[in-house]
Amino acid sequence: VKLIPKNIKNIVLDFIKKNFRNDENQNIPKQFSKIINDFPNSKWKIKRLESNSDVDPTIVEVDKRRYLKMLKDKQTSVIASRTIKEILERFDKKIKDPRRTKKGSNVVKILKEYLKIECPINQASKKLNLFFKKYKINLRVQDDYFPITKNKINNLNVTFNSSFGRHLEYYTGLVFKIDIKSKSQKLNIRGGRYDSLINDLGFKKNIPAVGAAINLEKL
Amino acid sequence: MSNSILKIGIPSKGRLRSGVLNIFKRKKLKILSERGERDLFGFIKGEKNIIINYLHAREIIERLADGSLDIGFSGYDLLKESEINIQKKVIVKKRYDFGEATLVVAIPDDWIDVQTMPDLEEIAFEFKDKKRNRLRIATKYPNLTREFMFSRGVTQFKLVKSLGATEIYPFTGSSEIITDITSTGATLKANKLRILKDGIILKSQACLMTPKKNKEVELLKVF
Repeated sequence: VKLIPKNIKNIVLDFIKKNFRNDENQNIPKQFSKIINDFPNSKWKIKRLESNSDVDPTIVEVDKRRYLKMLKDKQTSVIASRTIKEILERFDKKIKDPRRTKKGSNVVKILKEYLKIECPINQASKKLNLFFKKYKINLRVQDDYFPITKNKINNLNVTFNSSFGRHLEYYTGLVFKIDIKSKSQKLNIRGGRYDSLINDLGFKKNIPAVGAAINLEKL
Repeated sequence: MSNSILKIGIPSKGRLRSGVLNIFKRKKLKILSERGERDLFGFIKGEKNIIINYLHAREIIERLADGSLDIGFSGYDLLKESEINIQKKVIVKKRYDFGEATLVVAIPDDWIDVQTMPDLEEIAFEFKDKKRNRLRIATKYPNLTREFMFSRGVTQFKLVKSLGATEIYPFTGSSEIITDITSTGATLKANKLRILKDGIILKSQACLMTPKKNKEVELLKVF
């Protein structure tokens, strides 16, 4: 069993956001906000964050000319469902991006260190607290923070893994995977907490929920 | 050559057809048809055991999978787009240097704030959160497109299946962006679309394919 609470991820991400810019009002570019959740699918994004290559200066230069031209256009006219105003505002925000390469690589260093944390569940709080302390993150996790504190349930080893994520947006809390291997078969279960899923689908009340999926083909 | 009949599938029109016919010409294999150029059956002069079928390039792959063709010429993109159960039954024996095309993600030229796939991810979320709608992607290649988008973290979108002239969709209100096959990019440019920097989904070319469970075909060495 591997588990990771999403709110810890969010706190780490918040911390990275704050460290990322000098100006507190500006966040980490939104396109990177799912970097931890999507890991390892987001490896390529981490690389990009590190090298700061998502804003190509030559292309920005070419587009800036177009930008100046578009400023004179009617701002409410729509191009493929987006108004010119909308497009220009986002472009403006993007080229004023004050990131420096050095900053990017620092953040990635911390990010990578965080993603490496993996241990038996009873050591998770200790390891996390060490990580928080090292980077002066104002946060502490209590020993009973996790719903499971035993390293073994029946014959299953329970581990904490910071790089495990379910890259589906509807999860709101803890996510987990259970891999069971026996001589005759392998069983994979993936799931987590999704408190607002029913609500998102149109139901008026919020219903807290936990669920998982089993790959039947592998049964 | 064995006694059984060998069936070869050739695309019935377009660039793929003329490219494949050139191979036959180069190998000095003369294709004849009883009822002239528009006949969809053919045979090779001096080879009694070979039947040639002219089919739609997409269908050639399906016929290879169900075993009704022994050799087929088609595009790599069409193989990759087909259902996984069909893909499993077909193997690529040779890739040619014609019929080259790239499947790309294209966006309206005026979306100057969008350069890369992470930008697109952000825009997709904006559509969901602010506009209460999903970003629509028009394509002739729904399977490849879906797979690529997911792999790049773009999950909030809707596919709009297109049968052709996909380039016009963003400007008729049918979709916001498209994925389409391109070789020079000229058509996209003429329709005010731009290829995303990291939006290359698949590079394709004409291929020689056979069913996986293939009887050893001597003729294969010829191509």
